[in-house]
Amino acid sequence: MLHKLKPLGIVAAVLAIGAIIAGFVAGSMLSWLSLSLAVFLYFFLPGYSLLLHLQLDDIERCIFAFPVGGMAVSLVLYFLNLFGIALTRITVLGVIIVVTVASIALLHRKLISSAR
Amino acid sequence: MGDVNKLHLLAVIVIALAGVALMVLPFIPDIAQDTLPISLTYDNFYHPLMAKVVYETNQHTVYAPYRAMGVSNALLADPPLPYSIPATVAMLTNVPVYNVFVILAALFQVFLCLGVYAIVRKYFNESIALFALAISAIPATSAWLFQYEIGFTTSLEAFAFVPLILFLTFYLFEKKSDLAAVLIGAALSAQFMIHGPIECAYVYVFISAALAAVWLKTKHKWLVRSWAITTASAGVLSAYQYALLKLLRLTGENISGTLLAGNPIPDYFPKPAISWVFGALALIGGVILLLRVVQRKATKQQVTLICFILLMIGLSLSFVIGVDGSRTMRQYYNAYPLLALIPAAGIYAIIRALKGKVSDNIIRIADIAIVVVILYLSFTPTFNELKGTATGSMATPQRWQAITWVRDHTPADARVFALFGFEHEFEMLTERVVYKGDLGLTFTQKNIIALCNAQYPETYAGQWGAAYSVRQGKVNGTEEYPVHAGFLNFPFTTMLRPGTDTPIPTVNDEVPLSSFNYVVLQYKGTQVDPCMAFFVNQTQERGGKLAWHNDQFAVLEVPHAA
Repeated sequence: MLHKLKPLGIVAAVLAIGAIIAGFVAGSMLSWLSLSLAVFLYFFLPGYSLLLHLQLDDIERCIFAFPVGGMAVSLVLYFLNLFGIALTRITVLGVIIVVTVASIALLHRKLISSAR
Repeated sequence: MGDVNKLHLLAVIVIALAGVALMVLPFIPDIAQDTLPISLTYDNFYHPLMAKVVYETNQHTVYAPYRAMGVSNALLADPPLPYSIPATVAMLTNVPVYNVFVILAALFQVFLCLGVYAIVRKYFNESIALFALAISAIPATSAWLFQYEIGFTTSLEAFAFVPLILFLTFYLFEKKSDLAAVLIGAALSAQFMIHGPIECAYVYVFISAALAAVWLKTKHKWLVRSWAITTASAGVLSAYQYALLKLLRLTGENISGTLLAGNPIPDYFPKPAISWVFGALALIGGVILLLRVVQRKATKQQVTLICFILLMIGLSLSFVIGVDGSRTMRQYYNAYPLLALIPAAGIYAIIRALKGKVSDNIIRIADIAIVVVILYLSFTPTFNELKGTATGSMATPQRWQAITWVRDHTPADARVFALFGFEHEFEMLTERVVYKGDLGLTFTQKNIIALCNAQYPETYAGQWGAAYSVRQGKVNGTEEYPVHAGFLNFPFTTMLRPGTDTPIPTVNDEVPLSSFNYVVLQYKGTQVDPCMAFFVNQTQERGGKLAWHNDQFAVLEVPHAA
């Protein structure tokens, strides 16, 4: 399972390199790094986890993780807010964690049952 | 990523980073600076402002009062995701919302190009995909980035889901996957929640037709099931927002209308020039792609992609038969990363013609060399064009003075009528309830014609309801309209005409000047200066007060309020 997450590490590295370069050109490097981390958490982490359920190659999964993660997190937040839950840092992080963990847990379960 | 050519992968990463840098660096000199991206023109005045409202209020269900005629809890009925995505991403970082907004728009554009790359790489080949990526992520002119530059970021972001939808549809051609079908439905819903029905409508029709065509040929039952799942998930996820949209009282002259509304192409829409080199490459590529389809050498995925590109070209040109030019022309800029496939196929055809004479390694190096040439030729001029946009602004110093005066010197609940000289959405910056006089141009013209005929109209025509007017709560009076009883039944509130029980309508109409506290107008530097001067003088003669002016703009206190 862990080897499937390796490309996600490459995405994180590319985002970090982009942030460091941008830091030299346009303001605080720390701010760019924090934005890169936010983009990674919001878009790539949940999107990549969801796409693990499809038979894609690593590049396809990394590229389409961006729109898939964005739509998954934002749509869940949309409905939570309709039901009166405030959009806060905790809510956003909670949604990211739930989508990611649930997706990986389901995949893990599927792999175990198919191994049996 | 063992199955990937490492040199190509490196090229993809470099192009993607260069694409983001191209679009972000001209507009964000300092990421920590909390400044409205004013140089990105008009829609970007409003969208980042609303994103900040979502960020500060921790919700995206109601408007800021100044956006909704002063109503404090007006339901947010326009698509919410363009505001809530930047706002919620900003919650995870210390970067100001305004900058997050701009950077995310650039990321959506670059991931649109990357999505096309992934499709072309899988269903054509890696070289064509790489060329198409270089051409689309670093376009030869910023005109191709018009959607981003002008601030039509909702259209751009909605279209960014198209490669994902096409890719997953192609996936369904081969494999049974309920998850893929649900994701397509969710992506269509995301499109709807970003830019309303426009992009998601034609994409939905197209993929439905594609699934039907493949089903007719293969009789795979899962295609029907997948279509049903896609339709159901898109429908369920969009139902509430769709109901809100149906409640809208759209105002203005089709400004918020549909593709069939018949607006002409605005003259500020650029017509990107194509160099003869690219034109020749596109001709070669286009002929080769069409020949593959005609000779039945193309796979169903290739045929579907080419058909989608043809649809986009057709949609872009449909203004010639009277379809809304301002909407369809935008699909032309949207589709650019897909159109890039055509010259990329031309480049590949030329290299392939040489293949017999040189080794594969040389060809691979040639691929990279071509990408380097594209980047070298395109990056600097396009960056400089965008930099020029960033240093300019549609707000003249005089106009800014008028905006900041209204914002800083009028009561927070003041009603301001922008009689003339303020463009679409521009009024938002005053953070006041502003009644638009010039969004529906004919209404403005009616006002101006009267003034030019030396008539001081007792009532003024304008767009009173703002573009989105689903409201609840109380202002001066309440009038409830049961709409769609049984499903949603929002109480509407309208403001009453002064001294009457009649509400100011949520559609374009004429109302007395006394409905307002202030009138702001440009009286110099227009083609109707004498008419505006007439209004200024007459208002003062009737007891109004010139509250403020500079050498172009004036703010008048309306006689009743004075």
